[in-house]
Amino acid sequence: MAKIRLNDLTKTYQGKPAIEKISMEIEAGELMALVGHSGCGKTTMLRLISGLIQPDQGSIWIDGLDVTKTKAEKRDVVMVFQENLLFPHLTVAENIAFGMRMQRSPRKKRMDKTRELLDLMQLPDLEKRYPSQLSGGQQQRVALARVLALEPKVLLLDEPLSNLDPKLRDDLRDLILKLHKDFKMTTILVTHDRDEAMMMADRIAVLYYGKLLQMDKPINIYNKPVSREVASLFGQCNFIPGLLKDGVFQTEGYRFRVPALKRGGRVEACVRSEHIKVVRPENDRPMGVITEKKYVGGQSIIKVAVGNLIFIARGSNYFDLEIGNQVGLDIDWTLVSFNGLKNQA
Amino acid sequence: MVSRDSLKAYLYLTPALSVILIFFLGGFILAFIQSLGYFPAIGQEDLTFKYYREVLNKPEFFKSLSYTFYIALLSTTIATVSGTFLAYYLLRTSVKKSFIAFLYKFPIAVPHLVVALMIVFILSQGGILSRLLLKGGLISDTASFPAFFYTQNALGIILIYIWKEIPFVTFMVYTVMRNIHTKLGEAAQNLKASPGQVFFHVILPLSMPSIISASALVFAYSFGAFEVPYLLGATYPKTMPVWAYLNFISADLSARPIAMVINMIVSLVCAVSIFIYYLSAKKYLRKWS
Repeated sequence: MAKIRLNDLTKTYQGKPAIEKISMEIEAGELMALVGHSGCGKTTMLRLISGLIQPDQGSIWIDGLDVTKTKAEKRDVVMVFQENLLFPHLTVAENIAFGMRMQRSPRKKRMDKTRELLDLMQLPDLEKRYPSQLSGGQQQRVALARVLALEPKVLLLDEPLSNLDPKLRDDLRDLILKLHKDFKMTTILVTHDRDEAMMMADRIAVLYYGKLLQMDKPINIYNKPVSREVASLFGQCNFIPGLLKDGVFQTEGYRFRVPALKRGGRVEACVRSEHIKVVRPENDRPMGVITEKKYVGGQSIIKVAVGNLIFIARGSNYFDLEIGNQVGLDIDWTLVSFNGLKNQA
Repeated sequence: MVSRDSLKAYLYLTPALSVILIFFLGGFILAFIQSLGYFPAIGQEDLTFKYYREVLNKPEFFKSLSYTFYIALLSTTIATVSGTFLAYYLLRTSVKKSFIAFLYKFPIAVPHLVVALMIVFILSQGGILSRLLLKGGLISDTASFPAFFYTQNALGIILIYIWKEIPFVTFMVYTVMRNIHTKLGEAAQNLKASPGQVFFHVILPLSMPSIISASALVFAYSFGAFEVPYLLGATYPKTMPVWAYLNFISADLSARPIAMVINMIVSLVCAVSIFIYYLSAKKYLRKWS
């Protein structure tokens, strides 16, 4: 386990910043997920921490030591790549033992460790196979085993599950969580899958065009996003402009009593679609007409036009709702965040 | 039954295949028949291995064969090793690559004969270097400058070959290495391999098929090349292609089958080298692809 500290980390490519002045601390033994859209700088962050590239500015500290200039092979950090990057000319066993061989570990130790990891990764009788003879899931397991053989303090995972089918993803996700705990590693996981980040991470860091927007526990990232960008990354959200004053949110002719907030003024409410219930029309609730309904398995996504506003809500399929129906909306204001002003309820 | 797509492919290839079949395969078959003594122009119509026996029993045969091997092997080895390291160096250097790329690709475009003239101007005993050393008082006369040409060490010929072959090997290997280096090289570095270990444990083994391929082509060229050893080679022994040429242009037409036998032997050696390349590449590729 190791504590990681990043200070004002900046990296540019051809004059354009890939990441800009990012500072964060990752506690020893923590599992941090880096989340953001494609090209937001997630992988650049991992490559900087691993030492594969150098920052233009800023510093990287691991367990109190400045490792900014330390070469990748000298850092106690290993990375699992998205495409697994197994060596095609080496067998499974040789791939797993590769790092130990580079560190000139004794042959017996290498063999014992390789066998132990093959068992742990549930890869029996595959040691003599070449990577091209393995399935995608097996390849990713070997890639994991290969880095674990080095017993690193810091494990970096660059979208390790993105190329796998859903069943394998679930299995490997559980395995990674188990390994993270058993091996007591500080782990940084890059993913663009919000559910994966929510399920796995102790904390989530949200990157947006190379900048760190928010770093918090998954529940806070979801319920208290600091910006429209963060809110959008973690699910469908209705953004409603209005005036917040004295515990009342006023918009489009409607006044809603909301949990008391320290500050008011012009704000944008971020209401998650699952926090809006589609109900029978009643006078004290916003009322509108269903304009669109999409079936998505256990529920439907329903668009309701209320005046000039369009609300997106989720409703049960058992409730008889059709396009054109007049309905009411029941919003759970305790779970609504206001444009950067955190809900203090 | 040939599929429509295959038929289309053969149709597109017909112009190129026709040239190969008529000029190469046709010429080769004629040469082979002549090497067996079939030469109606001088009244020989029986097929015989007499000329093969004659060539193999000549004292200059093994001298010529080993001399040709010496030139081809030494130039191929130097070109392969230097070209491979140069390709790796190019991958890792931070110097502006477009300039270096021009520098190393330039020799590929220059004809061998031009290179030969250039190197003769510089390195012959009457060349620029010798005169500069003489002027600087480092040698007493131009004859004391080491002989690179018309000698059995064939250093001049080897130098001319490697001047062109190192860039060729670099060119062939660089692209393959670049693909390996950017991803698998980083994966190895991430697994605590030093730059040397990355090269010897990952880059080199994975580049082997292209290195062997470049090397086989360079060897086949050096072994079968005629013009440079003809102009700058030792009086004795001659390289196999020069020996074949001298027999071919001999006023004595009965020497023509001898020339063809030598050509057959040169072709056989080149074919064997390509076959060895094929086997080695297959061995490498079978393991992991």
